[in-house]
Amino acid sequence: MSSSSTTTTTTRLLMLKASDGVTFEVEEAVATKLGAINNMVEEEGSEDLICLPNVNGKFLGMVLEWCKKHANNNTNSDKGNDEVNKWWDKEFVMDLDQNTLYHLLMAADYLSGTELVDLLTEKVASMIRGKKVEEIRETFKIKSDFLPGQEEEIRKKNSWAFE
Amino acid sequence: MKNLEVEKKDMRMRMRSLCHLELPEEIVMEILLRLPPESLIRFKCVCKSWYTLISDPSFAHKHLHFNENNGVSSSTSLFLRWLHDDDDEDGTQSDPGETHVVRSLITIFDDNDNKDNNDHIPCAIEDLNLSIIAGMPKGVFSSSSHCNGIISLVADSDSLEQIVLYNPTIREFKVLPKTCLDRHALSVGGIVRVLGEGLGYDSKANDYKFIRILHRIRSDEWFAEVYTMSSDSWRGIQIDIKIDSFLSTGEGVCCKGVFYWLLAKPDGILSYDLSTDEFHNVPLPLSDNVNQVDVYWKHRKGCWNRWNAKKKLAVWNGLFALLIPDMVSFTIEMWVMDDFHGGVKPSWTKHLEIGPFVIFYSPIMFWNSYELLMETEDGGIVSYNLGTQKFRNLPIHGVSQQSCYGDFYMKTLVSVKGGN
Repeated sequence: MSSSSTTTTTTRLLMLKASDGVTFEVEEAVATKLGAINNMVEEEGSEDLICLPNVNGKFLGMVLEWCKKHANNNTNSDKGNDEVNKWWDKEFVMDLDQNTLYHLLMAADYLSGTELVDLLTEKVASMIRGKKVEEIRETFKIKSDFLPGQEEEIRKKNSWAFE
Repeated sequence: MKNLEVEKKDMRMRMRSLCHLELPEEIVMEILLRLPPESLIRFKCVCKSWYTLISDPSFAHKHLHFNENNGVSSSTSLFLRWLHDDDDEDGTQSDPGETHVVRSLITIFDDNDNKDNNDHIPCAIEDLNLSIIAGMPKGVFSSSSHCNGIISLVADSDSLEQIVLYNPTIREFKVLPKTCLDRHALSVGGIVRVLGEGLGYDSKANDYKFIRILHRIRSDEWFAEVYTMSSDSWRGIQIDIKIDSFLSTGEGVCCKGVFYWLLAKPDGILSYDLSTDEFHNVPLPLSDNVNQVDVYWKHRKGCWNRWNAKKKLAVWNGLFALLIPDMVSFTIEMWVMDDFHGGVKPSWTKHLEIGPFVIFYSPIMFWNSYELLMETEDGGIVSYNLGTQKFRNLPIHGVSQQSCYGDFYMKTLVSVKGGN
């Protein structure tokens, strides 16, 4: 199917389909904030439905919400808008729970939303900064693989960091 | 230096086993880069792969550069070294004129110009903890400089000469080997004075260097010696240009891989390129202020204090700058030098005339592009905003006049043991 050439290219719409079948209609300028979608559009054009089998509707929706805000505010880039974006980003990540944060981060990474990945990793870092080793293992589902005595030795050597 | 691609691949291979929560390895790395050194040291205990990664010098390097470029903008850290006037303190029994060295790490918190009513800088001050440096008498170190989280401490007296590199964040220190020019051998040629020193990072060689400029008095010979961390050794360097004497001993200023020290007679600046080992004589700008009136006496606490119109080297907005105080008008001329590539005649631009003030202030350093730290006549330290012309105080008192040296400070994982 080939669409007739349009005179207005600024508000071209893209159709995105999430893993659970939920579809989103978004402006091209918004969706191409995501590196992965930008590549698909450049390689295959924007006429067809873009299927994203690794992201479900809930998180794709959130990612697109972020893109929309940043695409809009980027059109006139002065310092004031920068501040607005920062403030908006802060609100965006403020109340994310660990599970949502994890899936959102996976979605942003899959879609190559570099700036959003930066924002979310910063959020994760701020959450785990003050945590204990045991809490980190739990958060990242890591099992200690030290030999007996090894961990104690590292702890002893850096005891001040555990105070 | 390792090929960047190889290094990247290396790091990836190591990261592969890092994550058990199916978080892509790059993302785990991105998260760890955003953590402060204290947390990372603790997280060495999480598992073997985290231990290996966090202990790797190339990770320390990545972490440093990440934080340089994306540093949390909500605070600025400074390292100040100054002499404390002991007779300034109430209740102490010390002799008048007695001082001791204070080294402070200062964190200045988010500085918002809207908070107009505050005449104090919001900050936290802690003394640099030297207690872990084994076998070092407290307070013996005479000078210090800072580079990428490492502070150099020099203990210099007739009986003892020791140079220590110290990263207080990871509590690691290293006593440098004896200098290549043994003091006793030198004494044959007359007494040697150390007239300039500093710790810097050579980005081309990815190496840390400690440089000191020496003067053999009897033969009036100038030479330098450089310690490189990767080889853990000293080597001597010839200084070919003519130097008469230094205006001030000790700390230079490092800007874009070049060290600068002030010279006197003839006035000038000595530069040293950390990568090329080249020395140059940099002429001063043509200022009307230079050496008009160079002393100013101030009566304080029953005695007269002498203030000198000391020129001050500084870094402003990433550029090398020179501050020339005027003792008559109480102003400070601020000159900025265009990029200096050894040999090419530098060009100075007079950027600003700061002041006039009602009293004399002695400049210390810029801690951002519009805030200048200065010593006050009564032993305090103020920050002066070039834009709003507002003064704010730092909670520091008893500073012996014109004794304060300041530099930026950064918490890093950079090891003082070398091995890049």
